[in-house]
Amino acid sequence: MKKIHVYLILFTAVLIVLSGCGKPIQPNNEASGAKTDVKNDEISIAIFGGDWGGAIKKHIIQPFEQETGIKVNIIEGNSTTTFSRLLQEKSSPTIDIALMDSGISELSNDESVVETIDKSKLKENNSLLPEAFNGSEEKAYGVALGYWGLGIVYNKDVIKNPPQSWKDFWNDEYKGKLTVPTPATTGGLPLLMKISEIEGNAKGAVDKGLDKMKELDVVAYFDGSGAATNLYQSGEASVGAHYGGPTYVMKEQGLPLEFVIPEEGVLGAGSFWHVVKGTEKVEQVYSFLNYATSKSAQEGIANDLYLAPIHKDVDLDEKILERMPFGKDGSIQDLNMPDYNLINEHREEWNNLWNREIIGG
Amino acid sequence: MSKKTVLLLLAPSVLILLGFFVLPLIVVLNNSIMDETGSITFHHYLQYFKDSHYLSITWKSIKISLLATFITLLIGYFIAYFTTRYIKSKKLKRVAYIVIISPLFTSAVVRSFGWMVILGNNGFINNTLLALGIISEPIKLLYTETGIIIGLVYILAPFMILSITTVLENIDSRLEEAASDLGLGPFQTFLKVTLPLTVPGILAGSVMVFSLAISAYVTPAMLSGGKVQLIATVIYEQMMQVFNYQFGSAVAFAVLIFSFLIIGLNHYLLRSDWVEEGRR
Repeated sequence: MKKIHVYLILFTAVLIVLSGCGKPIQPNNEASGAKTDVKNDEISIAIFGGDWGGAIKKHIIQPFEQETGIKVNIIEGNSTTTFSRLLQEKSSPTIDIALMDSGISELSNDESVVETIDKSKLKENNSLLPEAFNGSEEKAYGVALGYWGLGIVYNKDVIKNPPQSWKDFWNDEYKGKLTVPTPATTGGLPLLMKISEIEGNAKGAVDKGLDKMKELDVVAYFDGSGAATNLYQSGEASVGAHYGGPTYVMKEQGLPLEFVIPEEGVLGAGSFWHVVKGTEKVEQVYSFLNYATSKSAQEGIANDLYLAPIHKDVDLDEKILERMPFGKDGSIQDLNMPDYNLINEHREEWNNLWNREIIGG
Repeated sequence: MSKKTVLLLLAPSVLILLGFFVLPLIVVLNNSIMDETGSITFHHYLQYFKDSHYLSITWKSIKISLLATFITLLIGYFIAYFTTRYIKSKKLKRVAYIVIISPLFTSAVVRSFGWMVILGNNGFINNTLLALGIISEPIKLLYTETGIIIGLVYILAPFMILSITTVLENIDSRLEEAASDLGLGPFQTFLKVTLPLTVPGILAGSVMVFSLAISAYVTPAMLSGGKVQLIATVIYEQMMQVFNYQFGSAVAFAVLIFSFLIIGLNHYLLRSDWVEEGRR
């Protein structure tokens, strides 16, 4: 019996160690590095997990691997974990291409961890919308996977008066049933900025918006798309903000949810591919970007994730068109794109204010 | 065995210890005392210690961890006592151990998610109580400090149970028999003999549970719904959201020192005469 206990304790000790190793971003071991690996038939690409990862693998990575014979090492994470890793590996990157959302995309350019995109190397350059690139006309640093946005969601079985505007969140009917994003997720600071603007704050100030947000009776805040989906799925929240794509995925599963484009417009964002500074596989990287911007990949991503495509010639069904973040007849220009550079300037400050004013000590 | 052989045999484990435990800690320490230009500064520590916001979050985290440890101890002791003393068959005992450690086989994400289903306004507890007419409004359990404590207790209980079980198993039952021969009732025997003898197990279990609780990120992050901030979430946010590695590292290191102090104090208190009394 005593022996069993020794084993049990050893076993738990091992478990503690393992659980300690499990959570944080995996260090270099899972990706064969750009520096250490001399083989040229492999590239490392950081993408997102979940539905997005699945769709990207299916519509971009698999055809790319099959047709070029180049193997892709996939590193799953969200924009911030990927960016964090790029920062720490500045001198010797192990990622060649990184997918990051608006906000973090601009930040990665500010921190010089990504290269300028050489548009002449993109086969489909002439068929791409101007919004296909993040950055300025001369210096683009991101190539869009697609555009999406934060809008309003409600459960039509619970909510009698559907919200039409961000301002409606303060309706008495929604008390205790509402959820809005924290600054941790892409839509968080844009929403705070929007509310501040509605409340009469000048650009770059959020004090009135914070005061207004404090009055909201939320059931919980969400720090990412997955958390928001959980809240609506479990019925804990029945009205609030959410991204369009995941809402339509839930609707497709039979949940009584509706997505509303607020009067003020959907708060837009994009996900962009970045060429990591210091990659030695420029040729393979651009070959991949050509697959990512191809008509078929863009159609596949739009059909599966309801992302607004950046290829001019994509052909989408009526049903998919209705689910675009700007509605059926709109275009990417109709999205209410926040000034992500301004957000980045205030990122730490606003985050800090949110923690102090909204959550408290 | 010569000294040399002993050293040689020890080398691998010492190296692993240095590589996996000491080195990352040094990296964190190094990060915390560097400014952007690379010179040494204590600015980030001052920023932390001067700010009542962070100090109150730290205090709240310590409070929640201590509470979770205490509740885990009560529940864990009861379960450990029951399995060692009342389950006689060896086979059943093995089954009991497997049941106790089985939660550890799934990730904290899945287990926390389970609690979200149970504790929510539309969750199992509230729905049951509402159906029975005991309450008319759902009780707020999820997205509160209470919810976080419940989640932590559940996730950390196996560590406490196992360390107490080990000690309980090894108590010489003749000591307890002697106590009752000498006229002590069952409760007094427990209080004066059994309990003091299990202090090493309580100590080990508490240290494990407390340190896991104060450093837990996944459970509080999921069960707080962004409404409760703990020190682990602050550190995560500094590292992963605002990318202030220096400040994040300083907070992490300061909390490590707080934890050491509390664990040391606990050690000192439980090593007092009380333990000795059990041995007499």
